[in-house]
Amino acid sequence: MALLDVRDLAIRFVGRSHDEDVQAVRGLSFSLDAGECVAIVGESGSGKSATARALVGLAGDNALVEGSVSLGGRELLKLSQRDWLGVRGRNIGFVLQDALVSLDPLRTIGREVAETIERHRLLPRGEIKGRVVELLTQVGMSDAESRLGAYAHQLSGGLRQRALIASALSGDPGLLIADEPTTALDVVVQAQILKLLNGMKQAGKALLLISHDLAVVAELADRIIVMKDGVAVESGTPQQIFSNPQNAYTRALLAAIPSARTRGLSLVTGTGEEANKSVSIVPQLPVLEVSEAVRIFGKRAAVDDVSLTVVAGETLGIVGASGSGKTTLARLIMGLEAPDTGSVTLKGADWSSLHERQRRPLRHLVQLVSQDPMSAFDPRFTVERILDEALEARGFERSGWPERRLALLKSVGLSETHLSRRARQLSGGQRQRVAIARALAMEPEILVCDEPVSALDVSTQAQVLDLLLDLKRRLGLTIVFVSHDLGVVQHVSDRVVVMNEGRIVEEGAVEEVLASPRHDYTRALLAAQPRLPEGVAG
Amino acid sequence: MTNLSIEMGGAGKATSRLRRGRMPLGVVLAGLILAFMAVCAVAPGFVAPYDPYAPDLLASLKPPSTAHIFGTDQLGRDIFSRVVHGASYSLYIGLCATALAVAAGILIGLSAGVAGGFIDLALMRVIDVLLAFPGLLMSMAVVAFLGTGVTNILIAIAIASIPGYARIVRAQVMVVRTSGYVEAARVLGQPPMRTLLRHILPNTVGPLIVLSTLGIGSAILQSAALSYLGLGPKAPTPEWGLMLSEGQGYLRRGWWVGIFPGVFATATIISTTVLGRYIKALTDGRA
Repeated sequence: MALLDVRDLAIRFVGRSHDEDVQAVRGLSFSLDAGECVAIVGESGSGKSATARALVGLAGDNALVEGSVSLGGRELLKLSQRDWLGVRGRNIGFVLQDALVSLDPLRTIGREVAETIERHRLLPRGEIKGRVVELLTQVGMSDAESRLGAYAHQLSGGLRQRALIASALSGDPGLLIADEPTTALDVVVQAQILKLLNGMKQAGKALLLISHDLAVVAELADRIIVMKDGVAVESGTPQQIFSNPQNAYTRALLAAIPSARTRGLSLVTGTGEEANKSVSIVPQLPVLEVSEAVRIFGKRAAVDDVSLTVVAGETLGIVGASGSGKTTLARLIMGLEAPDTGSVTLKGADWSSLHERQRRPLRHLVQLVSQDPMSAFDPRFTVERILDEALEARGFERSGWPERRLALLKSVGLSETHLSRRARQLSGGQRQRVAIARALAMEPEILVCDEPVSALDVSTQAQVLDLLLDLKRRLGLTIVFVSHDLGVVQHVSDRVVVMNEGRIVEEGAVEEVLASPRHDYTRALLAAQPRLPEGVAG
Repeated sequence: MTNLSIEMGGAGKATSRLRRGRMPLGVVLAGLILAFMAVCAVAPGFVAPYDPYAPDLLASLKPPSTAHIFGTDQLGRDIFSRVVHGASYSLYIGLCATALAVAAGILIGLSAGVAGGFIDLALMRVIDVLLAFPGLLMSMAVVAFLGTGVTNILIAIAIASIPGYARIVRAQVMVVRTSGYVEAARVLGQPPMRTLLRHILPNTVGPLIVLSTLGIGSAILQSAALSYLGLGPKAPTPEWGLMLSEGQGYLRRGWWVGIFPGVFATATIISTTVLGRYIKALTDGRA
């Protein structure tokens, strides 16, 4: 008998009326044993997170959960709220996606991790501290004792995620559920966390891993369940899934993962013309130059003596882990920050030294697509007003706006029906399309994309990347593409610069740099990149 | 907390129990009470059976009866009619004082938040000083300076509630100013003044308007308190606070004289607060 046995799980979210009901999950069955890892993979809305939450009785007040979930022979769906309290933390540990939100900002890490132990009275008071230190050490937090008093905001993303895992482990549960545990992290930290979870599995924990990214779960999972629209469309060992995917959706998911292999190909359709594989930039015309730029925050140089040139028509990838200074560099290029020393020139003329008033008429030349389009739109604005603001700023005749709006929406794959929507009524991918449309309204020469797809799931990411490359070809845009994801950068870039601690450590054509990295840091980044096993049927 | 009802036979029954979207009974009740008060304030003659000022010494201090449902006061005036007429004072002061305070709070908070630097520092220190005094004490000081009367307590209450609003506006401006969409406007090359009017102001004021509905209740409470202390309108004005203080002397012989104005005041204050909280919860949930 398996440790966890899920039979015919169905989850329905009940709305105001019958029409608003959402059937999130249907007929899901799987089992999970100690020392085993099952991964549920799917895009947003596939029902994977609802499943994870239902397994800990947190599907929500308006959720109707049916079927059977038995843990060690005990039927969980029949538990009362009170009984659940005894199960959560004690029998099931839950690791959430975003540790900054999931940890109480007013409590120290030590107290947070101790909570489950205190709640279930697992240890006498005097021994709790020792156990917490042990747990934190176990999840790879160095110098754990001195960090007991730290608050969540004082820790890096990786350390926060470790603390969260430690708190999930503190009740010594047999089953660990991790919902997108690495999505908010950069590749290097992600690799560490995945290694840590693997260690938990080796130590005999049952692990249920939820992710949108097949590559992330590839090395960890013993079995993979691919979900779409609330239904398991395919399940099997990674070997089966990767080498011989039966379902069309699984194949699409696999093909959507960007990498060096996919250069010049559409991630959605898997097709593309050979000619696009490497864009030949005939006139080596520099449109943007950063020279010896330094930007210091407090005592730390976020950007430290960086020089680079962006040539017209190319895509320059800027890669680095969180805190490597890539976003600050992008902001210097945007003219949103001024360098303390050094300069940025745009088309051979001063850019960084301009007064904001002088820069304003030139701003349309460099446009931004940011990571989180939700916050980049005024929440009160409809798509129509969002686009109008750009059209107005560019100085287009008001009479021509309706036509331009439609052309812009069409160019990013949206339609007239989206004009009346607000940002919160759009999906993540649609929002990013609107952000791109707004940028295009300005008729820019350079598009700075700061982690434009890192908040999106793999399938949506594929669509947005396809769109960006298509626009680049059609409009002859120059793109500066900032990302922590090497696969994405490999897919889109012609040239790449690798940043670490504010400096450029390596630079060159993307094939050269990533095929034969010279710098240790680049090698470390490459090694951390989650990758599909060889011989994947694309 | 709703219990997940799996073992229940009928899934349909379970579903209906989980359905959302019904307005809580308390909110409906609060709405009805306020609607009634609004009618009283706008058309008191329509609700009140007697002249609130007409004394009838033969009928003085009569307990509630079918003729006078709230009884009569020491001069034989119908208390129900007086309470109904009193609604206009309370609602007038509550609404106007809040509107005035919100307007001033927006002006001060926006200037401080947008200008920053010395202007911010100076304005906020002044606000800090104002905040240091309890609201009622502050209002009393202002009335002492301006003199008594409806308009003056209105101004006094407004002044006392400005600091709270100014602080909230400033804090909100700080958040909005660093938001992605204000930055996006900058990237588009929009001039700062346009960004201020188009993005910062509306996104600051929206949450404040919702919050100010909560403030109306406390403004009504303050106006009743000031009138009770004799700083508001003079007798024989049928103002709730004033009636409350008049009724105090008759508590042994005629409890109804003081109780009913108090009940009306309390019901109005609680209703605005309940409704304000509900609106706030609605808008929070949507944001």
